[in-house]
Amino acid sequence: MINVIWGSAREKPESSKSLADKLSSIKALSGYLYLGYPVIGSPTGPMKFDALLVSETAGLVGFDLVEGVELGDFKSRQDDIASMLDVRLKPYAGLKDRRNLKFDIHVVTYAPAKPSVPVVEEPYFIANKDSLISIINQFDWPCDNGVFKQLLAAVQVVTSIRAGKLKREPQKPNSRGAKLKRVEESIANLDQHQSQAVIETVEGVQRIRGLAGSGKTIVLALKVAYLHAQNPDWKIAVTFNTRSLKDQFKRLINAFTIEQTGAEPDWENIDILNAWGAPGDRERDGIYYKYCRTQEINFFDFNGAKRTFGEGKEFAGACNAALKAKLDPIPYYDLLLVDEAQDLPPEFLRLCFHFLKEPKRLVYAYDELQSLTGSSVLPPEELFGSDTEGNPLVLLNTEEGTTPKQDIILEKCYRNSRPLLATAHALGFGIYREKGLVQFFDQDNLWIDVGYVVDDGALRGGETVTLTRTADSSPAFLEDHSPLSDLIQFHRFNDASEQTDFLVQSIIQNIREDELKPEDIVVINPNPLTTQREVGPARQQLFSEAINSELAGVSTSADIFTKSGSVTFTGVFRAKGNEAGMVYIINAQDSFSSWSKSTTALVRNRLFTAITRAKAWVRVLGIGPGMDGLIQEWNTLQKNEYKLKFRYPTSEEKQELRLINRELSSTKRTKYSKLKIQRDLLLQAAERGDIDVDDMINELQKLKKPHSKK
Amino acid sequence: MTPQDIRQQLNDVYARLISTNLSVKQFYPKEQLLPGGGVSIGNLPVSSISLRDISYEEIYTEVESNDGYHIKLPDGGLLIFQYTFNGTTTLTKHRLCYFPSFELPIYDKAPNLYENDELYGDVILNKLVRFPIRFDYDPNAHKDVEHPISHLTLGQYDNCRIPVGAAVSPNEFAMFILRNFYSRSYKKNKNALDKKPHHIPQIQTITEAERRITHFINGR
Repeated sequence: MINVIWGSAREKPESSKSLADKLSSIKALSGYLYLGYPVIGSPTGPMKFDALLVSETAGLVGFDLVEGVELGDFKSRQDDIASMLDVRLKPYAGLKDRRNLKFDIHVVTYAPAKPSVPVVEEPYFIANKDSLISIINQFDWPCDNGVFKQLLAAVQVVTSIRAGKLKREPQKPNSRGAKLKRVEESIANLDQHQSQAVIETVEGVQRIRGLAGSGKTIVLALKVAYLHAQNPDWKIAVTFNTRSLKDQFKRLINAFTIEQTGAEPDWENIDILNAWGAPGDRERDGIYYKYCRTQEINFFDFNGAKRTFGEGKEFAGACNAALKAKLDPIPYYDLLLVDEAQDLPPEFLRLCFHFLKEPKRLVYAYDELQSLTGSSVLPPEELFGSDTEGNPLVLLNTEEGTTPKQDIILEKCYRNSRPLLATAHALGFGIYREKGLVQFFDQDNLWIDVGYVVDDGALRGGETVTLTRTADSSPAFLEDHSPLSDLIQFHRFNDASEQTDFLVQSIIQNIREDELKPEDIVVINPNPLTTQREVGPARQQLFSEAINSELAGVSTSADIFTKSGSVTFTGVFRAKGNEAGMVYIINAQDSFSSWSKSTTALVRNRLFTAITRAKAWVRVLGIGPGMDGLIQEWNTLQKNEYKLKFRYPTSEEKQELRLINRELSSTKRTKYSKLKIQRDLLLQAAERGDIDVDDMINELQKLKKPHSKK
Repeated sequence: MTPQDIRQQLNDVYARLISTNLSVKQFYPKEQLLPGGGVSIGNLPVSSISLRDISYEEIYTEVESNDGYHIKLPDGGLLIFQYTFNGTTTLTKHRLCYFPSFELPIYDKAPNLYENDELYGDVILNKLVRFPIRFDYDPNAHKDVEHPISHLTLGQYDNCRIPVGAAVSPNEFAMFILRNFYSRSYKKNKNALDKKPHHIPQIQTITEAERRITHFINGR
């Protein structure tokens, strides 16, 4: 069986589908079929591939798809495909033998609708519905498995651009600076999962979930670049609520588009917008503000929304009012991508949905555990609401294979090492908390999806289960650089000044002895209400030691963590979406517990977010009994070798916990989505003329229940 | 007034603004020896741009993005401290500037944004007019009434030179800005900010004719 990756194949939908169906039917054929991928920059502009087969049985086959019956100048199209692939693959040493590739590149023109095709000579191939299989079967793969793996990797490399790095020239071979340099160099290109997430294009809603550090932001930026290259006329917007992400997106999209198409993106058609936005210049624009403008409805600013809807409901209230103000809104965008959806109210996602033209291409990415505001992301059925008949507007099809993937999970974490992530999860969920769990995944398989494996026991209510991360989901190079005891440390102090002294001394040591740069260090205070007050003394002490610092804030314009020369102090909101080598978390005691269960979950999430900012080392500092509690939980985790060992909650217990991943019951969900797919297939068949529509209507008429008579 | 005085008072100002987090990012004014025995404090690569004939947005962006300032306040307001001495005792020039951000809401209007890290706190309708403020001191350019030695310029008006009684010290300038334009945080941090800084004797420069028109008198 081949694995089909559905890219954007809008221009040739029928032939793409036919190709996928035919090739999937060849049982002996293995490998990957990419539809609408890759896009390769050429001197005459971007070259879009219709389809590409990478198979360890049939080798590398490019396809030239013909939607109708006119073949046109297929020879030069085939020549172009072959030579562009040649150009793309030649730079890889492992694929070459002297100056030539170790294997042939086959190109087939596939015209499924054509009843018969002319006979041509090699290297040209033409196939229709009947001859495709026999043509594919005559190809083979002449090299070994190692070469195949390299070929696959080369094809899957969506980009070779990595996020910006600092130049470092460490003098000592084993200083922290040197270690960090090695870690940064090891963070490889996108893995297969990520590139698949980039390419899979859904004509509808797509959900991407992944842990902190799994590359969601990069995947979204690449998606924009890929889909913009494929569909330059689309109006695309990407939105988020952390200002610091704006420049990051802009830089990534620009670089990726240049890489794919050889030209800068057309910024007229791509908007990088805040979620809210306000009148003023283009920099201040936002999705909600733009929606209000387009629909000519009343706009709320933050203060106005607070007065009208109450504290904490500002944005939800504003979006809701906008949705109600116009029941039949004018759509504007062809594609909307939402990052950090866990921090945006459902009303906002609904607004995005209504701002989209059919077929409502909405991509939203989130990590539930990073919710800082206490709202959890609803399942799509509830999130997007229902139509007038009560049927959900959006249902995700989670079945594999026959259609593009609507639900993607990125389970590999490239930022945090295994012990670090286990600590973040153990504390975030309260796995080893004396008073029990504080929150939980509702779906049992989500644990596996986010990269854990069951080491012992089972994911069944009442049973003791042991979960652990593997080298597959948490690459070893992230933790091998330093002893375990150095990766993460907890320190307890009697009062704030002791904590400050320790922090200041450690930072001085990091900079003067460990060869870290000030910008490698981030100090996070998890409680947003106290950041201003708490970090002043430490900043002043550092200043008197000639170490400069800055407070990440609203006025910090560009990427807040890339500027050089100062240690960054930040609250947890502004820390999001960013990372640093060494992370100090101060006043962690605030995250031990809170006055209610749901606020406890919230403060634990903040701790989770803070810990997961670290690329290499974390120091958790705190004061008093709350800190003792956290240390106790962490000690238990250490004793269990950074495995999560706990009694799995029963369904009733889970109900009680804040269900952080509520879903419709799975049977109900599958039934709904299956019916929807079958209905769509039926309509498509009717459109093609495969079904007699009148006959169908008659059948349906018979089924129509008579209206109830009073 | 000596370079030593300025340095000591700058230390006080920096310590207070950092410990109260009113300074979110800062560069300590550099000291340079000038040919002929003079001393300059706080020279910056891009300060001259503030006089050129370009829009305020460009001026601000240029100064901000090139780190051409000494202290950045939470709402993006920028402070610049520049002093020049002839020899080690005679003040020959000063330029003290405040450049407010043209896009972010001012501190007093959006305290939630700056104090509580409120995510959407910057989404507010702006109706205020922001303008730069500058205190200059230049005995060499003195023309009675028309160009007072110590004067205040509001906005970038070419001919706005409101006479000021004496040279302005770093603390005087910083507190003038905070008291008037950051009133909320000034009041909150009054204890720290009102402490007596290193004392600097005043250099009175205002003339009789300048006293007859509307002018500013430095506090004591």
